[in-house]
Amino acid sequence: MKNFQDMTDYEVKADLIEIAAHKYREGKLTRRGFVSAMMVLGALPALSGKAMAQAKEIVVVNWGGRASEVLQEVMCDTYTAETGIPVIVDGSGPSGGKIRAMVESGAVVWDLCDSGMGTAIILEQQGVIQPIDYDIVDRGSVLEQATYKSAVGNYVYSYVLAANPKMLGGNVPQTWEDVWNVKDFPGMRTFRKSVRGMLESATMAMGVPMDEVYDALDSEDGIDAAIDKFRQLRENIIVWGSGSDSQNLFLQEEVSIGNIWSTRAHLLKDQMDEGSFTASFKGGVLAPGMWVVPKNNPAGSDEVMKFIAHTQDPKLQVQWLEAIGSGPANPAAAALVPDELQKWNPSSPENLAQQIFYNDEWYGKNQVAAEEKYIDALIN
Amino acid sequence: MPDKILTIANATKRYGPVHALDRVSLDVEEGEFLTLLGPSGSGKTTLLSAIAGFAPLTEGRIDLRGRNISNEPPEHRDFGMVFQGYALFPTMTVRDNIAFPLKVRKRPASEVRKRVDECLGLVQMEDFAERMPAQLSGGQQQRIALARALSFEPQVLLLDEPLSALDKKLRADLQWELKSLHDRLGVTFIYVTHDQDEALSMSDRVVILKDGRIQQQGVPDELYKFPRTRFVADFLGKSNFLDLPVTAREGDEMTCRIGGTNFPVTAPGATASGDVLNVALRPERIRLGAPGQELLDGIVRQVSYLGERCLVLVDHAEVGPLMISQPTWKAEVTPKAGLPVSFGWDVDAPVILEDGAA
Amino acid sequence: MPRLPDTLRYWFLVLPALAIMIVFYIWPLLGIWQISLTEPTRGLDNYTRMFDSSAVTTSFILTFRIAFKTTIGCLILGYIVAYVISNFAGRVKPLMVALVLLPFWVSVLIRSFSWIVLLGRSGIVNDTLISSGMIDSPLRLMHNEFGVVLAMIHVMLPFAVLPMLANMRGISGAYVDAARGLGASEFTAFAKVYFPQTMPGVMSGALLVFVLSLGFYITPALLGGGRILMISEYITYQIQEFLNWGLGSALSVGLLVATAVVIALAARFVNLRSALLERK
Repeated sequence: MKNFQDMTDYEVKADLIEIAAHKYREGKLTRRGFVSAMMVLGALPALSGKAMAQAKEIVVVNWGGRASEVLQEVMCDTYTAETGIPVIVDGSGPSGGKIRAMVESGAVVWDLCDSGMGTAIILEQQGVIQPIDYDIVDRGSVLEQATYKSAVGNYVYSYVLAANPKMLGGNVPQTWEDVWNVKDFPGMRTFRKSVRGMLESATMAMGVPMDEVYDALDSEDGIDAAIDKFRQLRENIIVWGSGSDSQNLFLQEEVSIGNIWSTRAHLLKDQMDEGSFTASFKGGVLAPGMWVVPKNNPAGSDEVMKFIAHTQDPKLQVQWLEAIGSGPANPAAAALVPDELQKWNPSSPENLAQQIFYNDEWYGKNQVAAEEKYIDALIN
Repeated sequence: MPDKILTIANATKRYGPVHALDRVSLDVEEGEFLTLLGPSGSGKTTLLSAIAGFAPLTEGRIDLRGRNISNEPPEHRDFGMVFQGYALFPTMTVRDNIAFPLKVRKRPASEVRKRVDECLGLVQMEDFAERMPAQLSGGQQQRIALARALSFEPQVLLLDEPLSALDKKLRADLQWELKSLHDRLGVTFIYVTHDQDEALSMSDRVVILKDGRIQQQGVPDELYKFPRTRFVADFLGKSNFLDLPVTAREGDEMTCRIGGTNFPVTAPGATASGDVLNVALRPERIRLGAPGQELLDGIVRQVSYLGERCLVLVDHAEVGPLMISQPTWKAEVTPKAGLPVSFGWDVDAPVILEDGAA
Repeated sequence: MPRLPDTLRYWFLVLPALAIMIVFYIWPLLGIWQISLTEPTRGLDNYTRMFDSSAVTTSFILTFRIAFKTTIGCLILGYIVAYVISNFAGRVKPLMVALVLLPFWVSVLIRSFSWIVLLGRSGIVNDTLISSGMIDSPLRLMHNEFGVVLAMIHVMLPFAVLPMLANMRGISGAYVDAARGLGASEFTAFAKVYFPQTMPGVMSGALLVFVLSLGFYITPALLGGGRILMISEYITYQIQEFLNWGLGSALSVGLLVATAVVIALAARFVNLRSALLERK
């Protein structure tokens, strides 16, 4: 049991749902949404009967709510229109534990799951997911860091440096070092209530070059040093738990600076007054969501791989960005992003060049210990 | 004539349109046992509260030995008070309860201790000093409440229906004790009750209240014998009420008529005039006899045996049923329902009432 | 049909409630205990980690400190409210009791959010103070312990008022009258006679508020700015963020034990039976 530590960042997924709900204000619970909710509540067997009966459909599983609907509309319905193969989104949340339990019990009802890097690695080690067939899925159409043997990127998001120039007298912090400079950049800062994407910024604030961040953090001393940065800053820190927390802190002018998700920055740029919000991908941490395919999936390997290839379509990925702010996993999509959105696309070439890639291996090894030190630094 | 300790003048207490007290004037004499008697809503408790200082008067004043205390808070009036339900402080021991008035008066600890012991002795509760009130019986609580009210040697002791929660036997015992305590201490007692027996048995003087007004006051015997109103006659003991047509009048001597029978009525100082006398007739003043033995004839309707006496309800064609109380030990007749009897009374038995039909 | 013995019949009456408690409360609770001892490995690892962790210790101290402050605040404010309602409200008493109960109809979430509106950097309080010229820059009223305690006092107040109100309702006005009639001033009558009688209500209010505060979650999470991490939020964090059921369970067992210790300690000083069951 010890080796199974699910490191998927469930919250970012839930957050995407929330953003979608917010942005698309229809807000009503559709029938499909209702079914998804029922499944979240554990009414899984209902689906199993249905899925078994129609082997020729593809069941894609993500984390529910409006994001399921966007996925359905943008990716699945277009695929059905092209091929005639029905694709159904199930929003019951494909945690690593569920996927494993499903495969090991031999009752697989899911074909494709929206997972994370860490979980994908663990699931691969446990042998419960299938290798990606890179003959069908185009390896060149996805960021190279997001191509694993058994998982492939589907979208990306970043931890970015956001600021409110108006509260700072027009003096906008350019680097993480500036964020730690309370004298020249007064006011409260917000960081996530988790070390994800945070220790990296603290390490960079110590002057460690971008590409050496995880090396620096790869020791007890490195972690302690980063934690210590937070201890120094803590009187100026308000912590965000959910994505909407971070958004509210900026909207209510509780904080002037923060390390927040690019998806939330994407919303804030439209919600805040002209000139009172900026976000910089410089020194940001880019993290991908990953597709995984459970072993013995009902629709068969080929069918799913074809569908994954379909989702690599840059045009569709741009729609996805416009819809809920999550960035295209396909670098080719960058060219198609409208000009005004370029700046906010986590995976545009300019933005890619000034960010580091979220290191799931490091998290698998160090996160639990680091989190505890982080909390201690903030509250003690 | 003893000194007046308390003078109440024109005491009026209004709650909105309701007069709880209506121009009550009353003098209380030094050392007397005064009882305020009345049914509920008569104003007796309001009057006591006004004296104690809990219910400030709307009009009128109260003087304590010539000092106007109408506007003084209760704690400055220095009256001992025994509450209905006793109001013993449940978080304090018996000793602390009794010591309470002494402690708030900042008496030295040694004096407090001595005085508490004295008071416990006074009510024969020496063994209960360390008990909590909840561990005492009703009668015991009553004694402690009394001891507490007396511990600081107040000039006046106010008692608000102190015996009403006790059973009949205990109540009778405590009446004797209260009375003897009063006689021994010489403290002025102002006692509120709705129980006429209590009022009659203990008081030097009884004040009868109704609807916020004093109906009549006097020593118990006088009140019982000469009620001025139908209310008083009815409230104190039992009475038969008769309307007697007057046929002749000569000074105090009058002749009345019931049926075909004329009989004399003496009414000393009666102011009543007119053709009809409203009289109250105590059941025990009516004599019962064999047919023809007395003036009037009637038929026994019902008999109620009470031990030392029995109550007999006699029908008479003119005056309706009359209640007659007859000592069982010297009965002229043994009454039985349906038995024809005769009845009559002494010439001074009917008491002429001031008010008409009440 | 033979009659069942009386005690057995009463047991049958409580059976449904008991069954629900066992199936939906006791059983899962035992499950939590079990998880705390078996995940990720069998043994006391989670507890050793818990005691070794400075963050956990800090969070426990923080939790007790905030619960204590909240309790004191609730008792002082609640006592005044309960006292006024039971002694001076007269005909508006039902209205006032309804006003005390009113917050129960509004979710804790909304009540906590309304504090954000009030206490924020550009919230109503700061705006008013700034526009009236009393301060130049916004005061920090929330995202700190002050804000958390203030909002928690607000949320917990009914739990303090209701037991005290029930208790005071049972205290006859005759006691204070008696005390004053016996020569005590208004204050002495209150302090020596009335107040001691309200101690059971005060104690049950204190216990209720304190124990509820120990496990409180929403308000500190919203108003604490993440730096007021009470133990229940820490538990949520362990379980939701890390799926670390073992340590999360150990923490909740720790909180349960700490709460039990509080109640046991309280029992040494207060008669719990009379404080919680008998309202007199």
